[in-house]
Amino acid sequence: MIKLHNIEKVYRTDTIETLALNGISLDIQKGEFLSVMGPSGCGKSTLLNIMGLLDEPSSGDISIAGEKIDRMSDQQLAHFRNKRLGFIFQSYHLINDLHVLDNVELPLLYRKVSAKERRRLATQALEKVGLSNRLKHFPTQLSGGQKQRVAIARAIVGEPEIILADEPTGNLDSAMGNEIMDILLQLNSRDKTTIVMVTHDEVMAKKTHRLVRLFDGTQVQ
Amino acid sequence: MFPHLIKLIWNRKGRHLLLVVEILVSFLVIFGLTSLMVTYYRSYAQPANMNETNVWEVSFSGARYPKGKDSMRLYTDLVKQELLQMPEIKSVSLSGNNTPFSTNFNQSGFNYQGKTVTSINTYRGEDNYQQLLQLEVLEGRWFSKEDEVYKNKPIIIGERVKEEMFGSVSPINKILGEEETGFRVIGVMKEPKFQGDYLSSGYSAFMRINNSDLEWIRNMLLRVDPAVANDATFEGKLYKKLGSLFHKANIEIHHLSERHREKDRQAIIPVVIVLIVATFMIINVALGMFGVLWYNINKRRSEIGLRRAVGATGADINRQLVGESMVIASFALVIGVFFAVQFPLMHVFNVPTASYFIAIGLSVLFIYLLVLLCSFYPGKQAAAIFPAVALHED
Repeated sequence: MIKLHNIEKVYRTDTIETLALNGISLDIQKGEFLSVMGPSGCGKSTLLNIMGLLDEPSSGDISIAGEKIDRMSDQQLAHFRNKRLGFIFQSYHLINDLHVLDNVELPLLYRKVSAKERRRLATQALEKVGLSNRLKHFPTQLSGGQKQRVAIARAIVGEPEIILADEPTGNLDSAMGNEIMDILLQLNSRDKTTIVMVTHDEVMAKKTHRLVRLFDGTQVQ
Repeated sequence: MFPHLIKLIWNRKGRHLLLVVEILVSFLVIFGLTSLMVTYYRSYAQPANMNETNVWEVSFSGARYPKGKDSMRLYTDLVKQELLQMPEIKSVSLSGNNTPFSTNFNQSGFNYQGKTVTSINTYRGEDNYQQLLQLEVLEGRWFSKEDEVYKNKPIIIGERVKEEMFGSVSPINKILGEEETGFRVIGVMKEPKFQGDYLSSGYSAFMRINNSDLEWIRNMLLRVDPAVANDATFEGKLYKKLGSLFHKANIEIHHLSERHREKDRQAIIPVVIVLIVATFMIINVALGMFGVLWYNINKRRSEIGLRRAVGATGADINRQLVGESMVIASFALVIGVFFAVQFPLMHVFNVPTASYFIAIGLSVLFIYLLVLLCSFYPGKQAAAIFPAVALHED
């Protein structure tokens, strides 16, 4: 589903050159749930951003669902992200001035979907994460776990083939973290959604199909 | 996307309030300015319907007139003959004191069968006044000797008075006011631009003055030979002549073309003042818009990053930020237009309704262009933000 070959990412300033990723090659199968672990600054989020087409590698090849990503225009990349990828972030990235329902509808705004259909799909996604009673709440009125469930609903509303989760349980206590993990596992097993999750939590990582460890930008496991 | 923008802005209304007020005030100032400019332009575009070139105005305040109408007639005849003996003077006409481009006003109201028109600028002139100023009569005729024998005093009304009072019916020989004492309409004429190029000549009417009219004779218009129109020597000679004709009078000679220029200068002053205020307002709004949008970009980097992640292109982000600014401007403009339309509806300042509506249209267009201009560059900058960087910064 996701093929990375010899990915390198170098951050350059006028004086310093930092190698964030060094020759990473990965082959993630359709329906696989992969976790990425490693100490802070080892390049986990950079790797996830590259898989999510939010960042470009300095060298190496990526193909997702059989499509080569290099040389895609800004519009093609945006379209690809919108149709095929879903994102979950540690800090939720919800828009506080919009209702829960409007937050979940967000990816559909960039598709030609009618307002009525958007509403239906967003409500359905919120039902899947158990938040159908919070449609008209603002994010500031929700707990951390509820916010993350809204973020998951937003990630799955467009029915993407791949979900990229960057420390989805990082800001939550263990009970809420488990709840979120259960939702992700359910998405993976029920809908066969491919999930790549960056985490610091060994327990959560062990629940996934495969674990990749990074250290100083290099894959060590 | 549009309802989404409306919702987003409405939920952030507190933060946008100051900008809305700023745009609203700017709109109102620009509306004031454009109303003035449109009114001035519409007046400017009208034909002059007169020719003041080589016409001088003589005022002789404090002159001692002979007592009795016959003596007065003999006296004014003598004055006119004396002046016409000067080869440089081609024509002389006595007039009231509200001569073209002067600051004097003489306004009256007339009614015809219950229909009243007020604030009519009423000018008085002799039988050759029309020929001297080359005024254009559209219907009927100008004054002549025969008017002395009629029971009702003659009056010539301007086109606008005619339209207001009579519509499409001919006003000739109709009596304004009471049957016995009213004025008989003998002609309709194109309103001459006696208030200068920029100010509306408003409603106009002309009344006859005869050379024994002690009550109204205050000034005199002279058409001089073009060769002496700017000749100070001749002006001095004329001044002496007038001094000998009007004993102990305070004599002043003005060139109508100079008065015309002076009148136009005076009319421009309020435009300049409003223009200065409007320029400051526009700069203020432009800087405000820039500031708010830059602030928005920095404050909303995470949101911008998120939108890019879920499928927005750079162009979508640009469109969204520009669109938001336009929606904010629209909120301000809805309120502004509501206030602005009260001006034509309530006929404030006697400005033509069409001028107000043109001014509203131009002001709305101007504000939208300004907002577009101010939001385009910050929007472009926001579009260039790399999503991974924006998301990482939160």
